[in-house]
Amino acid sequence: MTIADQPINGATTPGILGQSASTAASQDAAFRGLVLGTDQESASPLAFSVFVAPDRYLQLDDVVQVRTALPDGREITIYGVVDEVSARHEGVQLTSDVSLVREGVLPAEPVVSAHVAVTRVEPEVYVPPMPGGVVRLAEGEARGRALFFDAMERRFPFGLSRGDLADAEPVYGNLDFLDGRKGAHVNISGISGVATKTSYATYLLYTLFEGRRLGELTANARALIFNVKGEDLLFLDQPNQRLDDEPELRNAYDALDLPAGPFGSVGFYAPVRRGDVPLPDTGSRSEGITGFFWTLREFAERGYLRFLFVDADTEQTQIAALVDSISGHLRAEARKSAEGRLSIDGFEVTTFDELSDAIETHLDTDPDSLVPSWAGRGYGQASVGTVRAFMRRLQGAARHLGHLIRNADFGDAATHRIERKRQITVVDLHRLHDRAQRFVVGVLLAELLDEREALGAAENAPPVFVVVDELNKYAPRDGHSPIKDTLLDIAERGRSLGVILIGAQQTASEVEQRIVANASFRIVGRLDTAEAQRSEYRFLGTTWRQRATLLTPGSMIVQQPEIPVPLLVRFPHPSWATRKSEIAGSAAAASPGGERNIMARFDDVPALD
Amino acid sequence: MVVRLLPWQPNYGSALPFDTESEPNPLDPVDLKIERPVWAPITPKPGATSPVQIVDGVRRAEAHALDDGSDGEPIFGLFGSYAVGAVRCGERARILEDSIRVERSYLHAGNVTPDRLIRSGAAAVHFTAKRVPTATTAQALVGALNRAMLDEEAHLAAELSRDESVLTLLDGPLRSLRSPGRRVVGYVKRIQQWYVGPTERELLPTLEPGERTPLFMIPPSAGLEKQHDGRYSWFLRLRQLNPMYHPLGSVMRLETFGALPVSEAVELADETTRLLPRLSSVPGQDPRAPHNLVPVGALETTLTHRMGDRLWVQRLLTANVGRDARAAVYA
Repeated sequence: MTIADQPINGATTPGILGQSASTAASQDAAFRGLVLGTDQESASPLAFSVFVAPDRYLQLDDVVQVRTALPDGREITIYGVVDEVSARHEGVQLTSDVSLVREGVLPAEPVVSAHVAVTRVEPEVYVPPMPGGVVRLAEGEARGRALFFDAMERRFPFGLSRGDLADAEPVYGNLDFLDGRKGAHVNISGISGVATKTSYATYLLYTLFEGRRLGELTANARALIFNVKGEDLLFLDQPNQRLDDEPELRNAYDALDLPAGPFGSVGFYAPVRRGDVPLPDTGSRSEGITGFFWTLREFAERGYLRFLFVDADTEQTQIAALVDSISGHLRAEARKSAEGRLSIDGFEVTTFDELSDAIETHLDTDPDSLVPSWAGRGYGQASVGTVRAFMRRLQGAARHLGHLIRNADFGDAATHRIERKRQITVVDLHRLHDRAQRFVVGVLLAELLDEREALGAAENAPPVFVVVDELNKYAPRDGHSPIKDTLLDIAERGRSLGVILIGAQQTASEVEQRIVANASFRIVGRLDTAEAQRSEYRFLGTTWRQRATLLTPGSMIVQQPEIPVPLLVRFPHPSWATRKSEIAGSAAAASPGGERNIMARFDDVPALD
Repeated sequence: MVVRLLPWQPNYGSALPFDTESEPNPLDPVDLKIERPVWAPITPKPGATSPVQIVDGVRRAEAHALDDGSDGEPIFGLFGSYAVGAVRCGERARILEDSIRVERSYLHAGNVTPDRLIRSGAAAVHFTAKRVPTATTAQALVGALNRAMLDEEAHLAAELSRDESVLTLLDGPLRSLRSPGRRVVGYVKRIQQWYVGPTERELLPTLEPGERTPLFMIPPSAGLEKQHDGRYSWFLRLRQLNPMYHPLGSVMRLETFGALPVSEAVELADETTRLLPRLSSVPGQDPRAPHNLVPVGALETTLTHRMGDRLWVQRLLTANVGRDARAAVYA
């Protein structure tokens, strides 16, 4: 009799029990092993280990179930997810023994045990599974129960459970925790380039909008996404060539119950070029992109000056007070100006440089100066040093983003304003200097928040999703800045205002804690080894932290409110183009048919306002 | 004077007879020239080794007892367990699961005593009553338990040795086996008697691993048990140990049936000389290294495990016997 002929549990000899329970279990295709109850691997209500039957295997992320009986006869079903699997030679203690085993000198059998983190107990009687209990793979409906999918009335697919499509099953998230009903916000961490944070954020938008997971809100929901690196997001409305080349990509979308194709309704915006024509400053795509700018009047009236001073330390310096003072004066001047224009002291300002000069004139601290000082009076007067620092930054800003703030004659401001008319609004920032990027993001977020506040808290208002990468830049852990305040506002009140933040960063440890803590869904791509040890990732536990350092592009770890363990998901390669060369067919074949189709969809979508 | 160590852990004693000067019994002269006229080391030619199976057993006294017999005279009792089994080393080593036998007995010197069934929940441990009329001390009962285990080992060895494609090794001197195969060798871990004289013994420390002494014949009348045809025996060196150990500390004596033709005995001796150094253990790996072979160490662990946890069995006995005793006392 070889070991393979042995009954599953070495302790049950067939002579005593006849056809033992475990032998019967081994006929069952879902059978995987038996609950362990040794000193080292004892079973508890929250975690237990499984002796994996020699002719079966369990791998990480497998979902299993085991039944256990109470003395009163009730049966409890315990569900869990495999989070560790280990193999060893039983009874072997010395390092060199392994070579004796191979040589045929030392008898030792390899055994495999799997550790299971319990996800659900039904009914909720928290007893450990009894050692010897038969562990089976939870498939189909049982898997759904194990992962609480059955309790999700409205759900969306986070991705597939495995890379191998053959046995992959969707992993769902509860939409109620995403769109603000019970919770909101997503936070994604991971190393740039490998963690595919932006791709995943875009994938999430795709499931919501193209997968129409938002139900009746889909038509009126909106998303705002910033393209900060490369041109990845500038072809969202084009199908990916891979859909034709790789049929299995379509299968992956089928498995997720998603259509495979481009986004249907996308508006693209890029900053206007320097010069006199309001053309968008773009790279390989120029058609279908609107150049955006703000008028000097808007800049003055809405107090955008503060978004020029977004360094984290600004708030603590005297400059903040000076900025407030100047903003107030500019607003007053704007109100006195003619419609759509900005005049200061009665003279029209037509460029950002002129505005900068006008401000400087009003900062003369000489008490004999003829112009009224905007630098405050008496105690509140800004020091010469503060004024100099302010001017230095203002002039620096003018260099990088003066061309985004124009006078009314430059172009029709209404057609060059970023408006979320289409479902997805992509704002291309990748050719802008860092300071200009911050300015645009700050202004757009503040505008969005103001707008939603004005609407009031309408019941079931269609949500607006905002994707912000590099949160560590916009909302660093230390210091204050206007953008950080706006983001905090969104994180804390966004749920009731229908503004949902999908934030991403390389290192959550460098981001304002309250922003990360307010996210219902925490998603982790590949992490740096040192970063993975930070307390921000404690929710992952030891094994998951380790796994986070090994994730490959396309794999994410998802932690959501209802499921007590993190889950690994893989999301398919984008079905939309992420660069020009990926567009299906030739450039000419950005097919008229497809184009019409896209427009038709857009026509169906009523405007937000 | 050079002091060198003996490799066994001291609580296991030593592999050598305490009396190094013991002389062979002049009444039972050992035939030293049965293989060769000269007493010199022999290096067997390299050859294929067949698979080998090794039989071994473990025993454990679970609890001593005193029984107030019917006439009021206390009689000794012993709850004991033993397990025997075999391990087979070929391409790979494996415990022969089918060969494992676990026995539990209640040994006693009295007349009729019923079997003892000890229960705890779903588990039941059955101690078969076994009468040892000659036992007058508790230690004698332990000896009886040991003999029962040796009998079982011999029984298993005889059974397994019928497959002659495999070399069968048995722990301890050869005992009378009922219709054994021809390829059975007993290996003696603890040398009780040298059998050869002081002059011949001088060869032993000079043996290298892979060398053996010539065969010698132990006549039927000598040894622990009478055998009709005597036994062939030889010494070999198991392993080159660190020089701090005395070379005699890694010498082992083996024996096989005297009824075999010399050529077959030589073949067995050669095979074991090639094989045993590979199977021997190193100090640190086993407390009785190098004599306790690696597969045997693993077999013993398995067998001990199959006897059940010692504390658990003792706990069962205390609870069950204690309950009966209380019932008897307070009846």
